[in-house]
Amino acid sequence: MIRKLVRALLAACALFALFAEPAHADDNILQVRVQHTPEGGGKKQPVEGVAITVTDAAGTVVGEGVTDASGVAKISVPAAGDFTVTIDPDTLPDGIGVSDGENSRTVKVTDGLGGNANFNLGAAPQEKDSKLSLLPRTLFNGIRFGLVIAIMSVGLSLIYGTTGLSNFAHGETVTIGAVMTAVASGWFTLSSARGGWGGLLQLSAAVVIGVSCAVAFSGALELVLWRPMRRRGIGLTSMMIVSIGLAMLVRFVIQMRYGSQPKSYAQFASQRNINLGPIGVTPRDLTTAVIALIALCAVAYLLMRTRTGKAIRAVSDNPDLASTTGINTERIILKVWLLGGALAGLGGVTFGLDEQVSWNMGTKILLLMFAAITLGGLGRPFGALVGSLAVGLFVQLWAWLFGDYTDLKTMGALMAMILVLLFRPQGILGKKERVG
Amino acid sequence: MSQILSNGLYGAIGVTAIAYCLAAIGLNIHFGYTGLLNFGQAGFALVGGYAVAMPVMNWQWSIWATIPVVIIASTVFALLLGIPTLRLRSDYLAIVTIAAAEILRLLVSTPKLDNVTGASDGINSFTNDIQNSIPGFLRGRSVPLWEKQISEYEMWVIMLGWFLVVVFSLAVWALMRSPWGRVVRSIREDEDAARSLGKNVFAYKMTSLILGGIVGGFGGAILVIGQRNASPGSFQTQFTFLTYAIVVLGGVGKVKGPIIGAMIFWFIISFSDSLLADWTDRTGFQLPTWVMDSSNFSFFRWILVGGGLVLLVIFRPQGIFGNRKEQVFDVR
Repeated sequence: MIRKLVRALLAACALFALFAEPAHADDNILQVRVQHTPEGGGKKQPVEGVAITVTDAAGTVVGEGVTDASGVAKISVPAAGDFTVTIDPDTLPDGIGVSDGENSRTVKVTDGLGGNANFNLGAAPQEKDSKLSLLPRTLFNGIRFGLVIAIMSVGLSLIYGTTGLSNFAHGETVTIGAVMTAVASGWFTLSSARGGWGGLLQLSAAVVIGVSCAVAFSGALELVLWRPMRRRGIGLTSMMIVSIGLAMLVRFVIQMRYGSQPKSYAQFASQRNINLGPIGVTPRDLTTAVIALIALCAVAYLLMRTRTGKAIRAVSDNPDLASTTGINTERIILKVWLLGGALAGLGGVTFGLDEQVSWNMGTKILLLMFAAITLGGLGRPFGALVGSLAVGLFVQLWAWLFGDYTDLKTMGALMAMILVLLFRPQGILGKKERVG
Repeated sequence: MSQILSNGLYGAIGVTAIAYCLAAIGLNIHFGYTGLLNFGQAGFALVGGYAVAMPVMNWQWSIWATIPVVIIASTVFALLLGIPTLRLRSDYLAIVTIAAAEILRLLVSTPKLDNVTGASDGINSFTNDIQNSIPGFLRGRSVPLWEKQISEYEMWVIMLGWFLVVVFSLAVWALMRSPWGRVVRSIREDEDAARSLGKNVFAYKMTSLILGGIVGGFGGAILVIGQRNASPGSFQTQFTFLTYAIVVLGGVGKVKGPIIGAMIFWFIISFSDSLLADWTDRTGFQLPTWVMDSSNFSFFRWILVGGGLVLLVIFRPQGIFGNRKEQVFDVR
């Protein structure tokens, strides 16, 4: 209410100023107004005491001035024509900056009307304390990104643990989950409103469809491809190369059918830029973090507290010994593939909420998943969780520390993985054993 | 049709086939003979390619003077990769090499290094020395390959490239008949046995990684010279996977494997691509648009490659011409 009043008042003032202007413009007056937008948005504020130089086309100084309390300086120029107005960055108050090339502009001055130049400045670039205030948000984002990677890589790690296969097609399971969710959410939006509870319901239904597709994909592959290959005694390296071929096949089928353009979920598009709380968490961020946490807790419960979980851990430790104790190894492996598919699909959905849904999103994140499970210790599901959090934090902290080198943040995580292998080859949680 | 067939033939002998063939010869040394799971052959090729382009571009070297740079840079990269990983289980090497190749690609694509690497656009105009060295009998004419015309520059690069392929293939053939080759193959079959006979397995693996890496580096060099452009887009992870497909196609652990593999592979790619282009354009026979159209037919070749790789490994792991006796697929 108060804000509205103020806004109305200011608008009235501006109107007055507009009407008052021509009265001053008796001879060739160049009016320069310097304002700045406070950090975090809001009304523009005038900037006082800024030194201004006006030069003509030949480069000779024809007038100088300093802005008053309303951020305005009036400088009379000898004749009509084009003039260059330059503000001196050194006279700007602390916290206000001007980027290179933005501190001068050319203004046309006409007889009787004068000329206007407006400078709208932003916050000073790269301030130390503002960077520190971004740290909580960076940490939150790192943990959130780590959780998203964790959902996907726990599945990858379980598969590796039980079958010994480094599954390069896991990225495509992720993509299938995300893409099918996006496709399904597209079906629903045709009929009813976006956003709100209806939108949430629609998106949930779409997520169920997408994750089911990922589960079906993963389980079907185990039945028609991996199980027969194991029966034929085809070795792990061959299977790994098969998974590479398979990943390529599926990836480009998706690209052909889904298209190369990234899309985002229709129901979530409207929620983009709402900020909550001091660290600026959007509902979207919070949702992905909560979904990931719930999924991971469920997996942890399954592994530690249920019979199936115990059997999975037994098969991971020693498949032969597990089957002599009466565990149906093949059934357990199928369950692991189904579980891995579900987690990958869900991971794809959360990753798709985070960024956009594209045909190669799984391939892009696959390397980070491998980095995570290697960091945590190959084949250990809780290692995958720790490794993923480490990777997520590392990626975000890299972007925070080296703001100019954001495009290299993936590189930082991969380098960290290589360094860890150099000093602790079994990974953070891995058993200390000879791996050579 | 003859146009399409000649496109296929051009693909089979062209610069890309040569570059991938060299990379495959290198990978064959790693994977086929030594049993190293190197998934970073794209990294070696990138090192080779930029080792040629960067000195010419930044310090005005002669392109011929960069040949030792290719060798040295590939060796250094191999040492960096090998020292932390060659003592570990083979899947660690796979993950580290794929990560290292990706690190290099990200590093040369970053805009921060624009003035050294040209960022994502890469480096152009470093091939004047090659242009000037075109011999007289090629100058001023294009060479016909059935219905396809090959320019003088391209023909010259193709000749240089196949010369390198022959040289390196002969070298591999000789190496693998030497005592070194026998030790390396015994490491592939049974690492512990080789170690118990007193062989320094680590040193042999490292030598193999370096040698194969150098050949892969020359593959990257030929690729950037042929394209007259060195850019990170040529050296994605896909490069490594295609190289694996070529090695498997031609026969793992065979001298002629990479040559046969690369020629057949790029013949199939170019042939299917121009066939589908013909079937999706507006004239003559046309595929139904729901199957594919002119906007998406070009993805089909990669589907073909992926499916082909799956079927090959399952049903003919010895490659198309190999015999099943020497099954050398599974390492670790």
